[in-house]
Amino acid sequence: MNGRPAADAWLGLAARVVLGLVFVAAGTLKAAAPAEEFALVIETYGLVTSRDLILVMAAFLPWLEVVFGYALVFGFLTRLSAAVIGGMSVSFAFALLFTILKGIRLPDCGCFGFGMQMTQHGELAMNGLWAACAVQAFRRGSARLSLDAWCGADGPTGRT
Amino acid sequence: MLPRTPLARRLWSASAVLLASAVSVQALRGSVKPYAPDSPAYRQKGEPGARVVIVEFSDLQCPACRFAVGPMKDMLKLYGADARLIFKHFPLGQHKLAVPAAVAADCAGRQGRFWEFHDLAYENQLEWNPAPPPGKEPAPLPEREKTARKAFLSYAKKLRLDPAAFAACLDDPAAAALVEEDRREADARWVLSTPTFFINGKRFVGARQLAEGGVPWIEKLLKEKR
Repeated sequence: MNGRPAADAWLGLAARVVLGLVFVAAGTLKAAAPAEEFALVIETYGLVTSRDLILVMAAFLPWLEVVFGYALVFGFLTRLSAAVIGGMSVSFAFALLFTILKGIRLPDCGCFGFGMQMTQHGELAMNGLWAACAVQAFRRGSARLSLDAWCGADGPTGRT
Repeated sequence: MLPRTPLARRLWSASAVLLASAVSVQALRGSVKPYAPDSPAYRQKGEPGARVVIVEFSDLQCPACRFAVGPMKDMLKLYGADARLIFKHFPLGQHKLAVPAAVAADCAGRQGRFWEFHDLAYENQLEWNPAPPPGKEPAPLPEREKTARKAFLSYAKKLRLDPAAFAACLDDPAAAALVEEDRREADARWVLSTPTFFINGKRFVGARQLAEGGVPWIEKLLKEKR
């Protein structure tokens, strides 16, 4: 067996599990709390103005993080999950970049439901790291210890 | 027994993912136990039998809370005998002077002047918690605490409080314990930021949610109870 693809597969597994656990933790902290709390964070970004839409997003986004986070940890629909989580990381990064460029001072990025406080630049770098993990998970995430392998999944949402 | 066909395995896997998600969130929610101590009478204003009860969790060092004071006063004026306000302290961890300020407000409350001290503390927030000069670090905490204490003693003097009783109260562990009780209640109610308002139990976080949702909610409550 060639060493490099094997190492790549293990790296894919590590990226998938770490990224999944991060999103499970971040999503659980927010989903367990009342939606109005996360809604305040979304308001602060200044990108969405409709109060109803903000509340829907505040109720829905954390669950998306938890479900796709677990899907990554277990290696289920790995490519789809990595794409969704990677897309969310890139979107958060753009939202943060928007606040930095507009000079909006966030009391908290809301990433971990107030459980962790970082500078906006730190948060931006962190989202870049998650996006890189998502790319690796997308490429080789289901090659080792995954439910996709157990299910015999093929195609764009399954085995890489 | 584990499923054998690919479709059954996929369904089983999807169920496992959804179950794990639901269990995590429910477990975290369940880990928070209800806690609702009574607030001292001096931190309540309005008629005891008011149809609308507003519970405010606030931090005297928080600028956003300062901006909510005016709208809240207007709201209480608008609804008169129909509304009652109960103030609870929620000193945020990053606001190092919020606990001494909360204790000082309660000490004024013991002498019947809580609301006057509350207003003075918000109006003069930058006096007892001065912003550091641009590009400079804030002064060391003991120095900032000394500045704040001096300001609180001057407000006590302005409000004609008994200075010795007020100064003794600032160091009274019972006063600090009362603030800590509010913080425990805030944790039990998942209050994460300030100001947070509960109007007959419905949550509004921040001045914007209060302004956009609070008044229509109160109108609805009053219509229902008429």
